Amino acid sequence: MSVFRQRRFGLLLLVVFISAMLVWKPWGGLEPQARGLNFGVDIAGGYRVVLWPENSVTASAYADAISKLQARIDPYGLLGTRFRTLGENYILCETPQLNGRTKELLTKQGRLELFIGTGLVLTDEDITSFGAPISGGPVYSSIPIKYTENGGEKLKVVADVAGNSAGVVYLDRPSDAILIFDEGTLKETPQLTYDNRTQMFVVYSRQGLQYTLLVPAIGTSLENLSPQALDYLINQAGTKQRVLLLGSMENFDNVREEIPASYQVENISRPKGESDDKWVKRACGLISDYQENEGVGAGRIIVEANLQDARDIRTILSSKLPAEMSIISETGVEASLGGGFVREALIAGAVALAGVFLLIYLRYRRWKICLAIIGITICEFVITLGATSALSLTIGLPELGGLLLVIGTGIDHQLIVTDEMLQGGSPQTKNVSVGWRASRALTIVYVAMSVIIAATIPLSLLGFSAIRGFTIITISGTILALLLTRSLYAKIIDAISAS
Amino acid sequence: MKPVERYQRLRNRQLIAISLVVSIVLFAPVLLLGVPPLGRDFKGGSLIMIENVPDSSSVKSVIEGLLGTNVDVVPIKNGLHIETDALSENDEINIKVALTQSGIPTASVIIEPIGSAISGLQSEQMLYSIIVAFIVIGIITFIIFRRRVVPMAVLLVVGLDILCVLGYMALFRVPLSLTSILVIVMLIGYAIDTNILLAYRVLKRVGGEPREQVAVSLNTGLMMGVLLVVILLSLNIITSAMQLNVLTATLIFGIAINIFNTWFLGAGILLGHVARQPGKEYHVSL
Repeated sequence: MSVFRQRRFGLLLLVVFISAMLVWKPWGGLEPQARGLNFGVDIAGGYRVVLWPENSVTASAYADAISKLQARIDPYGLLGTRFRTLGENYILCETPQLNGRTKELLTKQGRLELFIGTGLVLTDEDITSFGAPISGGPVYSSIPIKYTENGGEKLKVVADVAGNSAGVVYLDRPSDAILIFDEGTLKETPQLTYDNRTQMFVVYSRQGLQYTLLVPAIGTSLENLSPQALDYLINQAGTKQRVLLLGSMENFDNVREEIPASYQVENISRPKGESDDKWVKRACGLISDYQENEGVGAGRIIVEANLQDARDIRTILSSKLPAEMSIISETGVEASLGGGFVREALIAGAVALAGVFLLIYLRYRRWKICLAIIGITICEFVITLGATSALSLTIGLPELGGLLLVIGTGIDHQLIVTDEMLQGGSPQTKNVSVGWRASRALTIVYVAMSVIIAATIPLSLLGFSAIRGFTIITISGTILALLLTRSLYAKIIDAISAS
Repeated sequence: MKPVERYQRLRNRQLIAISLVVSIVLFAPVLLLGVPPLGRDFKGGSLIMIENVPDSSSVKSVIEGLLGTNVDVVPIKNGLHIETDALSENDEINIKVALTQSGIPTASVIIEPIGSAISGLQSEQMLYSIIVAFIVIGIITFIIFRRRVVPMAVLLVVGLDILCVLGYMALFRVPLSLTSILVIVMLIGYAIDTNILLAYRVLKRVGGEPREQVAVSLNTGLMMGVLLVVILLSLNIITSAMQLNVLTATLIFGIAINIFNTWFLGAGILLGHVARQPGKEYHVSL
């Protein structure tokens, strides 16, 4: 039977087609950025963000913050994000992508507080671990938590006394800040009211329980800062350091001028479609107003977030930073390997293949063998890129090294198979059957591949994150080649030698 | 006499001795000039942040001229980030003065020390992982070939390859960096291919003399090396990325030395083993 009619050949074509689709992603739009390969800062450029811890931290806490940030943004080292110290107090983050989610992960401290009524019951020190979030539909998710023995007891005692009081969980509650809102924009609703006496918002949980958001807030008009707000700010100047404006900075232009200079002014803008109560809750750092206890030592907090957002909350809580981080600057950086690197690399690849074709022709004087080696090499290249896309790896210099290794060893192995099958490996074995020679050739190749895979695994497990992309590409590319192309190539050479 | 015939006439000890002598010569720069310098990936340095740069290339050459070393330039929006080795206060002042003379005000220049991309702990982890990889290579090759000589030959060749590459880096002052770590691990991969081919052809041969097998496998191995060099050379010549040029140039050297070490040192060890144990040959009726 012709080699092109064999199942193995059909399987290879199918995998190559799927890989090409994963790389090309025609459903992803025409923008090259939307295609299925993610390039690192080296190749496609990215962003440099300078972070600054808002409270002074020790040198060891500073190093700890860098490892926690790495764990938040790029835990497995596959996204090409790297952190370095800059000066004595700054952290430099280099990342291929920078969006709102990345900024939250970079800046949130991860300080958790659980209040029942107005009493602080638990902090993150009373919690030993946060489990993987579980989806409860498009709006709600739950995060399993385990309390320390002391934390579990405290919660039980307070919950028994407080009865139906809602437990309210905050993430990075802005306890040093005062909220200023536009009285014209923020209307009272059944879910959200403003208590003039306490100068705090009052909200109602899904279970109909009422609780106060424990961040002082004061209303004003946008034309100028109301006298009450000004008085309040002056009175609190010693205890509070920040003012959080609910809305855009431009809207509060007139108000900002009147805020006492001792305050640091920030704003919390509202995304389109966000309700008033969600906006205010977010500004106050509230993440949950409902928990379920599962015995003394464990429970779940129900967060009003989809699964992805809940995972981010868990990531932030699990990797608490020594201080909240401020973004001092964010700058777009160009590719360090050069703007036209991908084009240059493709040209170099084409020239290399032409050179390989020529040399193989000079050795074997059979163009069919040249075509087979080049064809299989291109297939392996596409399949490895497809695996890279499927695994969402970011391609930087180390990953390019992995690709080079897969392609290089692939060509090596095809040469070994060709020599064994055409020349029998030695003059004395030319009379041995082709099947036996193929089996021997493939044994050599499989042994070499197994040793490469086995040697790469420790590098993947023990090596640092920058080398992990290299090892994953090497291992996946080698395994796919082992399964899909090596024995097929032997059959192709068998067919060519028979003809 | 053809080179292959000359090669075949060499005795096993000569093969080993030639390889060891060449390796010592190639490793000598490390002994004479010291280990390759640590790159900024390992030791950090200084970051010069410049805003509103009129001409990036002239700024780069001004700083390189002043410091006498290469610097890494990362273009940013409206400016440049330039990474250098750690700067002294004097260097910082000189750079600011030189940039002012080039039309860049001092207020647009910030210089801060920058930490290493690879921490000390990560370097240790990498070293351990390479040691574990060596152990794994040794165990797997022993399990497959059932002879202690194979892991010994493979590991000696790979180890010597790495030492020679370090010698090359010391001679040309190529700094130890993420790129050089990549070269080392890629070289391990390529060296495994050639050494497994050699061991299989010598120890599990079908008929013929071991030396003939070595000569035939040398033919295959040379072709493998040449094809790899062609691929790497294309990348080196056509792409303009400095890091990739360093990687490919060092790897080309590594592949060349691997071919040499495999078919001299590795072949010498394996042929010596076969000569000592003729009873362990495989025989197949033809």
